[in-house]
Amino acid sequence: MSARRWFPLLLIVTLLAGALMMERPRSGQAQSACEAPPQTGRQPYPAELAPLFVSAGNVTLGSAAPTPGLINKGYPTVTKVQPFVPCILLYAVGYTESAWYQFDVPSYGQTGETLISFDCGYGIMQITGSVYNNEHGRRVAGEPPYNIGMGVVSLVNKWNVSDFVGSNDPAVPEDWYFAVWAYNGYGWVNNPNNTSRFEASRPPFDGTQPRSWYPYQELVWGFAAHPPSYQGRPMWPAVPLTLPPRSSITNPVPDWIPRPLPAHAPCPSAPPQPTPTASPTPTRTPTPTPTRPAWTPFPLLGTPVYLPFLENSYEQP
Amino acid sequence: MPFQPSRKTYTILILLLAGLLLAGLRGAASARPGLSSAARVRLAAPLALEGGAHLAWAETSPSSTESSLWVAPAADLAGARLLASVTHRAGYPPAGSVSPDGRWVVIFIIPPGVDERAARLDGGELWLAASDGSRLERLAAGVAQPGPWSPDSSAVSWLRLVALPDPKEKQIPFRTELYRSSLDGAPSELLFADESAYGIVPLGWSTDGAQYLAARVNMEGAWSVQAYTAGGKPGASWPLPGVALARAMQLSPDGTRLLVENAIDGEDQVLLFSLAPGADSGAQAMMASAPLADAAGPSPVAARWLADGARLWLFRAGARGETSAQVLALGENQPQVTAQGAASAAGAQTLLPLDASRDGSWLAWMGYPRPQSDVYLQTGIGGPLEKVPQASPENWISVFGWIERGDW
Repeated sequence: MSARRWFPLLLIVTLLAGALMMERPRSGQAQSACEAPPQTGRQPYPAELAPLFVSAGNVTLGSAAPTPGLINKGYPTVTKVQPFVPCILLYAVGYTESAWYQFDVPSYGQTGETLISFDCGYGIMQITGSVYNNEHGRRVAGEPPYNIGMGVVSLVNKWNVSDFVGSNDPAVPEDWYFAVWAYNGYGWVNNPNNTSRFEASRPPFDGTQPRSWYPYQELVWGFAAHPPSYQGRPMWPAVPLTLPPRSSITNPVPDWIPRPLPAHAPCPSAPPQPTPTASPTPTRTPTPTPTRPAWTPFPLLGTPVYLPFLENSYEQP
Repeated sequence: MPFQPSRKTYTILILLLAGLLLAGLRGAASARPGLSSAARVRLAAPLALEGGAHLAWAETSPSSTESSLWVAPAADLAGARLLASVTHRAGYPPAGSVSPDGRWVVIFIIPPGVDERAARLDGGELWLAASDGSRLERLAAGVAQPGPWSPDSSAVSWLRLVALPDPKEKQIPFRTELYRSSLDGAPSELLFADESAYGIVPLGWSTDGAQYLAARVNMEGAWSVQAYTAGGKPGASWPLPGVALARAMQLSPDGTRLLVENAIDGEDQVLLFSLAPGADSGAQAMMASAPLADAAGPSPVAARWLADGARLWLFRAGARGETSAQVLALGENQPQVTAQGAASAAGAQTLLPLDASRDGSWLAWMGYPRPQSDVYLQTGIGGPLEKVPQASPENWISVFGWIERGDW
């Protein structure tokens, strides 16, 4: 075959291969990356956001947020109960993810576009996966209550497939250790004994050390105990959550670990709760506290319902 | 007149297209579209380094996205000179290391805009700077964690974690990929990938560079060292019996022995394993042990290799903030103590070992409970300590390693 005959074929093949290489999604990155366009909005102040975290954890935001599915409770016998996430964890996860910024602005109260990370994490809870250019995606991008609500959905999903702590009571923040770990990435990547990543002799995180020295869940625990301040006031009441001893987090992680004690109440604004007894004895049922959101929700088309068949899509927060 | 290309024209066009395709392949493997890497690392004026050991470190203000990379003679820390400025995500100070020959500094950064998840999986970048500030380039992107240098300083290794779309085991949601980036500009090379280990700790190369060694723990909790040959094929492996929670692992400079700090049954141990061909399983020796009072606190015993690979630097934390240290010479028979002394620093509960200069004459320590900020240099065991200078006491100090100008 002469060069003139095979050259066009070679040209087409080469160009096609090149185009395929250029379009190939980067490993580990969702193919739906950054589909939802950024929305413009006013960044709420911390005082406006704090009650939203409480309401989102109590699943009382109504149509302003997606509705999570039922949550597992109990160990070793598991039952399904109404979903609930302790607000102290939502405060701290939200701060760890975005410093409570839904919009990419220099300070609270200003107007700007959605905070979108390079890997397409959206807003306060840095929601990823299935954030398409549709009603759901636009609300994740533009509505703080909806974004926090999606964080609740994701945490509940993580909880339902995580290993167990204590009596597996959603109302006990310490029982969320594995679920919070999974919110960022389960396994060795955040294992507290992964000392090729994390300095073995690190002191507990208090917000003043490099984040890169700590597993994700230790950052959340640390911020819960050491809330940052805004205008001279802590953004939430400090709760010194108890970490499990590192020696209990083996390689791989056991199916169950005892509840780290002392355990704490789910929300610092809630009435004091008795210290739960040593697990795995059953403890109290979560008692969601209806809280009216201080932030006015956007106009709504209807109450969004979390659809179980989309569960996999919400796997990566 | 219609275009009538000659055979030579075709050849040139084909070569051009092949080059474009190769560039596309390489870019797909390492580039992060949409993220400009320009000016994230900026060299200062070239440094005229003199003889003697120099320490390289980064200083970062906790809320800042800017860090300074300093180089100073160990004997004159106040004479630190700026090697480079680095822009990164707040809370993620640059880390890195100096090549064994002291000529290169590899800088690991998490760029601004990378979220908490990507910062742990694949959001980092590796930059290469000549230690005298004469050259700078980006080596790789998509990095989770930097790894060891090759013994001949021609390449550096790094890890990336890739989310598995359908994990078989919920505790292994990522594939671990280990890459080698050479300094000659060749594309990064995948050394091996693993989807079955619970955890992997990169250790480094064999002295001849023919094998890469990594420690792995499986889903049964058993640790071993696995050698990988060219092409990622598994080679020899050595079980590490008795290792439970490995607090640190360090390969000897000659690649034949492994130090493991091991927490087991309430005790902290320093174990020495032989990785020689045909070595029996089991620890060669327990170099030290102490009760592990608080696993979340400082290690009561620890050890570091000295650069000659024939000596160990061994530490034991004292009850009153004093750390005792020894240098042990490893021979055929019982290890011999060649030097010993104690160290303490005002304001530090205890000192933790960090690194020793290549000739062992300078020791770097971290002060607990502020190991991120309080770093000290000591002139040999038992000598006086000097604190690494900071613009503010709250600033973080990340030690990169030692540059010894006389080596090159």
